Amino acid sequence: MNSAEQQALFEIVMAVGNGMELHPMLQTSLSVMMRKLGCNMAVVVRCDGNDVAAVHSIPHHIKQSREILAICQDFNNKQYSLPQLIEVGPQSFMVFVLAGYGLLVLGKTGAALSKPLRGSLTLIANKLALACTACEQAQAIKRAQRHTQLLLNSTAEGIYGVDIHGNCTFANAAFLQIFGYSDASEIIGKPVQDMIFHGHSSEIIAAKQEALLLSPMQYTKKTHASDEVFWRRDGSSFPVEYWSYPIEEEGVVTGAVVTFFDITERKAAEEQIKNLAFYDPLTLLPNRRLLLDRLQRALVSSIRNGRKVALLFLDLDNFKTLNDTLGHDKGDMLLQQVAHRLTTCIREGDTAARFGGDEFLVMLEGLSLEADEAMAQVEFIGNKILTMLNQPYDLDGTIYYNTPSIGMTLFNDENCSVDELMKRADIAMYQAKADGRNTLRFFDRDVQNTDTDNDRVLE
Amino acid sequence: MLPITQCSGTWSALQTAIIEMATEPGVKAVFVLACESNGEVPEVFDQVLRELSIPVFGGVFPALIADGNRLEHGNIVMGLDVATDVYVIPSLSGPSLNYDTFLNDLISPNRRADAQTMLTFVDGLAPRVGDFIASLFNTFGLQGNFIGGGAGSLVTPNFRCLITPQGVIRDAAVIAIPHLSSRVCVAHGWESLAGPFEVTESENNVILSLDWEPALNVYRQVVEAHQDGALDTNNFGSSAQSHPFGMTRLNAEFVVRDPIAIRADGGLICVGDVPRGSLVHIMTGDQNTLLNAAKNVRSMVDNATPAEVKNGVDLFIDCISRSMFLGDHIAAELQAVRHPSRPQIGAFTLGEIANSGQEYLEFHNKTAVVATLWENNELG
Repeated sequence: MNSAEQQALFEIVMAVGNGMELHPMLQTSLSVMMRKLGCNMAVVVRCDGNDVAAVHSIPHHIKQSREILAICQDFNNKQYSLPQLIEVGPQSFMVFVLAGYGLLVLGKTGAALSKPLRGSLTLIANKLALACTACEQAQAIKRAQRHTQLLLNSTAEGIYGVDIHGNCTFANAAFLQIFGYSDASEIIGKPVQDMIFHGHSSEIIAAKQEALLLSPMQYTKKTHASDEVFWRRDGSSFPVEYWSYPIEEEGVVTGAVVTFFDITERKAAEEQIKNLAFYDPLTLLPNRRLLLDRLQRALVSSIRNGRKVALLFLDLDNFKTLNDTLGHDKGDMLLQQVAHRLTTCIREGDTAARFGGDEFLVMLEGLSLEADEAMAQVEFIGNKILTMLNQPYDLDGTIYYNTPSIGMTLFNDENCSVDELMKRADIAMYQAKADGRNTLRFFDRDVQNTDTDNDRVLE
Repeated sequence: MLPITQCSGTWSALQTAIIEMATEPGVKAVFVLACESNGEVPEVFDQVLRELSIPVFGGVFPALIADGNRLEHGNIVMGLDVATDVYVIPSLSGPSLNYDTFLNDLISPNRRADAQTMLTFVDGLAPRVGDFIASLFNTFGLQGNFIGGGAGSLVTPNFRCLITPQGVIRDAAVIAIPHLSSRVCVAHGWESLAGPFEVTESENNVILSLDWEPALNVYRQVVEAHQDGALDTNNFGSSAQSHPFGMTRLNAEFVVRDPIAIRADGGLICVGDVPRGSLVHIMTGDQNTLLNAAKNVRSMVDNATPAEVKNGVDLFIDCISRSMFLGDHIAAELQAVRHPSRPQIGAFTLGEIANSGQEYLEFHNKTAVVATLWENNELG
């Protein structure tokens, strides 16, 4: 091989196979070969079994040349391993094997390249073959990464990864949107744990080790938290459910992937369901079920601390007449306004509930230890309610007057059950009715006895 | 296809000549070579180019060639009575345009397939000339012959130098594809003085290091050994005219790269790309080697042109840097290249584009390119 050929080979070796993108790499490699060797065309062909397909060529339209593809097909069928020289008129084609990839064809007018030079080009062809394979693998990895990214970004769940030190390795679009970041670069490489989890909903600062998020890295097990709190960039918090999965490489945990979703709406829905079960949808007051539950707890508490509990049973006088004359809409409005007034008459910790129809219950807790004093407190509140409910009501433009009858009873007997207490308040309310309505009455055991006898009426 | 040479170098005279030529019966396109001494292009001239019913194309150059003479002033106008498609390619400086895609979309496959001769002019100082030339070959391959070069001015930056149907523009390229046959030959006469040196660092057209030594040090060492006196920034221009770089090719002349300036970091700025990993020689030449090359290119064209061609035109694209090196001897080169019975037109360019249909398309420097053009019907 002469020095000019050696120089050409040197320049080709320096230029061939540089780069990780297939077509730019081939464009540079083939153009240098053509310039230095005086060629007028170059094609790289992919061989897949018996199939041959041109990948890149200079000039580009040579890729469609049937003549070139026929030469390659023939070469591939015969499974040559050494370069071949094919002469067609003044044009010669030199075909080289790209091991494990395909073929390289160089075209030249005039004298063909010398045999030693063609031999040396087989080594360069090997380099080009490795580069083609590496580029295709790099492309496949990029494709897989794009698919993964698309998958990650198409889900509404937030997903992020952390390394063994808790630094963020990736974050999907939902993560950025939920936490208020505009670009992943703002979070990647940073201690994401400290940025998004630093306190419970109670606003108590949480110790880092409390977070189940990082436990997969310690215990190599998936963890799940159904109700935790994450913190946005702007300092606001939101409830989340999350799963944390360990990333293992050859048996060693190298990080974790966390998926989570914002459960604000779910919690609101749960709250709504709870309200439907325990609250009256018309007045938004606790319903009978919740009141009975609270009453049971109040009685237990009263036995323990000695403080008296009272129950007031309210029935609106002549409510049926209102419904019959002005309609149920107005009746409902009255009930809503009564409920509102009741809540303004009682103390924090007391309960006003709608028992059903036009009946309301008020439970007063934490009254005096002494019965007489407790009764005075009950009577005071009862009168306050009576006065308040006597005020005129504005029923969508119609001024309406209504009064209640109120029965009151004090819990001062450990053997008295919830049912018994309810019954006593009910009896007292009927006593108020019997006494002309728009009044309040305390339960009297004698009256109960008389009432049981179905005849006697007290006060 | 008969060229008219004007000695009056003004835009208004050129405008009149173009209009007259465009109205000649049978003329389908007008090829124009103009001198930069015409000065700034008036707006009305652009308007005329846009309004003419046939395409006008060409360039503005430091000097022109007409029948063996160098013209510092004047214009050459040639009517083509063959169908000619003219294409304008914008932005030879912006990094975003993909020329492969652009050319593919711009020129139909049929037009590419039957192209025989492509007259191609570029803004010679635009940074992406190399990319554009590579894309021309990617798109057309060996389909036809390319001849052309870099238009522009060595003294006026951002010079509007390309004559197109859109007006006179810069930072662009214009390709005309007439139904003309051609033969194109290239020669320069430069010979290796020292080398090869590996280009170990480069940035497009700037050589930073040779064999891992600062490029200027290597260049200075070789040139000072060959000339009297030291090489410095003051005399770099004159020394560089005598000692261009040559990029090696197997069994072919070097591709010459003309160093025109020293960058602040010592990099040598060339006309045209010098890729990293290339082997370059530092060249030398004299009036004899260059004139021999000119004679050689004349005989190559004559040998390649069919004897039946009687009415062709010679287009001579000669490098302005070559002209500066030869000085008064350029007259001998022009005479050496001139065909005794054929009209000759041409220009001194900032880089030459040539391809004979045999090998890769190159952007040359300091090179003489001669093409004989003739109408297809000459050969019956």
